Amino acid sequence: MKSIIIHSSKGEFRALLRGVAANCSTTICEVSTREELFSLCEANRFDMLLTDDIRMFMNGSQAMQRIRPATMRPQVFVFAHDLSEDTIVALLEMGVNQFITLPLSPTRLRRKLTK
Amino acid sequence: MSLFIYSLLPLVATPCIVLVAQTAVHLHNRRSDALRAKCIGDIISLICAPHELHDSDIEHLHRRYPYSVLRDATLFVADNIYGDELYRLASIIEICGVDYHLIRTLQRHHGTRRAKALKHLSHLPLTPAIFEVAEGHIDEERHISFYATAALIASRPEHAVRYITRLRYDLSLYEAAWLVELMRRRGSIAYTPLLNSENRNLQLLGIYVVASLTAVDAEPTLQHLLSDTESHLALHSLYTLCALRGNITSGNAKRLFEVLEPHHRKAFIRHAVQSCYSSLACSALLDSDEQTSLLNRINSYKCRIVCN
Repeated sequence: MKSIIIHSSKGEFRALLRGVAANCSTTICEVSTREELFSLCEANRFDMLLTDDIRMFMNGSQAMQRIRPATMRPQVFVFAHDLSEDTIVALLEMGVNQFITLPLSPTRLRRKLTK
Repeated sequence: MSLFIYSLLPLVATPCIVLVAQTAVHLHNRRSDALRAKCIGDIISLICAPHELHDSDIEHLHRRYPYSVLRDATLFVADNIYGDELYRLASIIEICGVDYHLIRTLQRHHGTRRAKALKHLSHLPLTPAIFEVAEGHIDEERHISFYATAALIASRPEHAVRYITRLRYDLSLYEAAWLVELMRRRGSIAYTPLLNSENRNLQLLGIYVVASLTAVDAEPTLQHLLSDTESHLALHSLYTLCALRGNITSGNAKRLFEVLEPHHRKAFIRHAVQSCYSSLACSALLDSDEQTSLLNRINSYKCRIVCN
């Protein structure tokens, strides 16, 4: 069973992703702050991170190293309304696996989560 | 003594009352947010369910949550999803009467409440009844007219250009961004016909699309838009060129820069410096007096980057 972390400061967005990921043979853990996310990543194994926090990766804080400790490589999906090529390329270079622009398709997202 | 106590009472009571009121508002907002999140989760579970939706499932949702929570939750979901699930969401909206309540609010109230109801209606998916309702409010005050146009575009996106052409005022950047987001949700949007249009509002929409996509192919058209120095679009085009890291020292750009007011010149140079244009590029736009202050600004900005 896959374990997924959903990270967003907005409760509504967490509820949206939780609803989409429910019944996908996954265990879901929700966090609202970066500190909670990093401490959870360091303490537990998980398979996937869904987040809408682009700035975490863009401010030079080396967030990816904290999300992916040495022996693990979970998938990182980032959601945003931003469409600029610079942002998308920068995120992919940071190591993000998928950049999903909003609005999202629940059917396609569930397919990605169950792959 | 008693007079002293009575005089102190307002000083002590007022902050206490304010604190209690703020705490009550905070707790109420937190409860509302939690309830809205729960409603969103239930709506998503319904629209993503593998089985066919029954009216009883939706009625259960309708009984469980108050109208305001249901309205906000359906609007949030409509803003953030696309695809076949929108059809299910449309049936939830219809059975729960969200569109009916919004249309009733629109008909009963005026001013800001009417504009807000039209704004919410423009977000609802696949409700053809919106068209007749919105069309009657096109000629009202500006904010009502704008959201009525948005509702028309939401209901018939293939005629978006025609509705925008009918507007009798210039759109602001916020309004342009709102319409572009709406048109993106309803279908694909091409910036080339918008930029090449004669209508100022359509050109502004085109500029916004170019800026949001960082479409470098649009640079020649943006350079052409700089030539009309009296238009407010020329300044937007200049900033968009900056966002694309385009050539801001072309003939058209220099001619536009010469006619800008001093505070616009300074603001643009600050923006160009922060967008990592070199001092050589920026100084080509300025006269000798301004170049000294510019070099100081660039050096202080670079120093800030290095030291931070």
